[in-house]
Amino acid sequence: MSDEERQTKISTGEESKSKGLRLSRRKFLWLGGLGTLGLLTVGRLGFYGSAAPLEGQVLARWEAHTLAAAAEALIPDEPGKWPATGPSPLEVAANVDRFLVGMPRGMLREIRAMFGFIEHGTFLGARLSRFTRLSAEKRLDVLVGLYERGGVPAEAFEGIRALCLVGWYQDDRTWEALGYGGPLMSRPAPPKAVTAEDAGGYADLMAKPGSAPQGVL
Amino acid sequence: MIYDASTFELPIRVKADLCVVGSGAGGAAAAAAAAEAGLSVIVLESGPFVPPSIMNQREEDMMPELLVANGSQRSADGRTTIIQGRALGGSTVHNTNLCKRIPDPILAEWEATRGMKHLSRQRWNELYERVEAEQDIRYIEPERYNDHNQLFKAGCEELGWESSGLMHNRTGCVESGFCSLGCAYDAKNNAAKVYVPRIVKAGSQLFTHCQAVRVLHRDGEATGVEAVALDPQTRQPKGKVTIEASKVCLSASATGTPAILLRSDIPDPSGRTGEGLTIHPALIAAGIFDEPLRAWQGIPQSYQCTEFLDFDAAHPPPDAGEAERARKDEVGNRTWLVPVFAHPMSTATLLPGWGAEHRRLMGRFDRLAAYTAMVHDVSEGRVRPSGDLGVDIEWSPSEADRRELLFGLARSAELMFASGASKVYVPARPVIELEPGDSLAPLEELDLESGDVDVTAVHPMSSVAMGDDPSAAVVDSRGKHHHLEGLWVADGSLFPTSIGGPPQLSIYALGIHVGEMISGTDS
Repeated sequence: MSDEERQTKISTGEESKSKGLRLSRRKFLWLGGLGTLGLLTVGRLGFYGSAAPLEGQVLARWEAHTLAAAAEALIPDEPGKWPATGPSPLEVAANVDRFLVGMPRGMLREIRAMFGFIEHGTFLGARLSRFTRLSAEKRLDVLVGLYERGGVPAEAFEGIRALCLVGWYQDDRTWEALGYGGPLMSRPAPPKAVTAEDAGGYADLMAKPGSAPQGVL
Repeated sequence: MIYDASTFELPIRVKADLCVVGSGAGGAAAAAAAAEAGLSVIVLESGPFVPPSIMNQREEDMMPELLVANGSQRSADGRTTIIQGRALGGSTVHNTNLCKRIPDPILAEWEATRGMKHLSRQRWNELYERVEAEQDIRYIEPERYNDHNQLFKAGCEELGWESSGLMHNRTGCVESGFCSLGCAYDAKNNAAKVYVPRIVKAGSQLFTHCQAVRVLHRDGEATGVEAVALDPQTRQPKGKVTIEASKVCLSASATGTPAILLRSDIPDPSGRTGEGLTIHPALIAAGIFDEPLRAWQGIPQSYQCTEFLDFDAAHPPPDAGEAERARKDEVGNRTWLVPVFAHPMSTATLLPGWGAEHRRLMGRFDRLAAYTAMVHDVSEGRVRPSGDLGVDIEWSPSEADRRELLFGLARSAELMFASGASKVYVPARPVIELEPGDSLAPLEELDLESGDVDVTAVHPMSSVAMGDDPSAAVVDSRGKHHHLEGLWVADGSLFPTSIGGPPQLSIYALGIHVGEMISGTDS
């Protein structure tokens, strides 16, 4: 079945989305760990260096590579045919990496488990290669397979789909096609440590960084 | 003054008369009332101060600054997204300025079931009038309704459904449409703009990047708050902050407040701390229109549909007859319909599909509208602390709320078609795509339990419900804890039930009420 046919079926709600295995969240975390750990034995880890030079603040190199590979499958009209206008797959991963800085640790643990499950859980679908070594078409098959399975695998699909979209649609270059004009002002991202110099009309309310408050004991 | 606690020499120990935990509507208003009454107050806020001058209207930059978990906080089962604010000013910094009073049947029910001897309906009215004056709360003029709200209004009129304009707290609004990302024009009359300057002017202090862990107490009396300064970048603890205060007011929201109470081992014979959580769950229907409407531009949420919001039916008086009481369980009395919209990044994650299908939908972004059905819920969720800094939120819809949510979803779709949509999408797995004339009945049979339909909530409430009977409530109608002297609560946790509309106005009112009770200046 082609992707278009699949989408049409899904769009009309004709296809069952629950094909059995429904995992608990704990099992999902466990499976993600198993996928990552167990596949050390078949040599599926490593060798990401040349493919994904991103040194993220949150994402490990292999996670960024997994995300970029998923974006190549999920974002374009046809898997692998990357749109001419917009961020590259690796830029999508870099955008996501910046977005994830400061997320609660528990949530980051779940996100890491999701990456492990997607990259190394391909063996559950009887595929010998890890996700990032598959063609873009086969990567889409794997992801749609998770979606169709329902339950926690579908959550993994939704999770990586959401991250790909966050990384893609935050980029100004994607907005023209939407008819979206974007912000009405050009300002950098807010500084993490705000001082009086940043605060405009609120400057008088702000104490100097490092100064001691009243009432120190 | 406003201090960034991450820059303190840590650990640090500071003394004040009152420590308020949280700077949202309740905390800021309570702190202002107490500070202006002469108390030395320290307000702790776990998030940053984000003044309008550094807001940049970009989702990827503002959501991490303004929202808990960047807007992705979920219930324990992962099926419900619960959005809350985290900056100085709390959720009032990112909300869309809606202001509605609690309807009289709900206040009457609270009086009948919870005592409320310190918070009568007359007291509510006085508080509302003050907040409405302080925040310049008024109806949005019809000529300022954007195209999105105009379509919504036209749909209501086409169907003959009861509908009306909404009141907002905005002054000097330039109609940019970026309200949900913080107002870079400082036109929101929010907690940071209205109450924080008053707190500072009164000589009190606010610590940002400072998260309360537990209330300190000894021999039945509050003695202060144990907190941690957070690294602004990683949000991980940097060092300990201890506030010594004989008065403590928790205003950390209906998720944060019960988590702190439970972490603090404070006596609660009622067993109600963290129980009874309501959230105003909502489902969304999106529609495609033939002409561009650019729903993200202009003032959002200026119009509402109340056809299916019957508070008299949902809250019958104690002396109601059998027929009147039976109406309480009928579907279609607890649904509030309003237009809702987001910028591209958030919209993209909401719309279903991938590849060409998703890009095709996003390609119609400027022709897209979305209506939400928010339910005045009766399901009781639960909040528990998760470690020293986190919360676990358990919430799933009761059968009554499930039916009401799906009824509301079907009515949203109906209204969307009445507004002129050529196609309606329900974000679900699989996505539901409807054409004009299609039956909407299947929407009311959807399975919410499977997690295949996205439920979103922005109003957690009722997890520390007030009541004057110590055996049935944690705090009384002053906001004062029944079993620990010097401990108070001032936020949406106090509501005994959900309130069926945007809560900020009522939380501000509660903040003033509790702040005056703490300082003994109530009128």
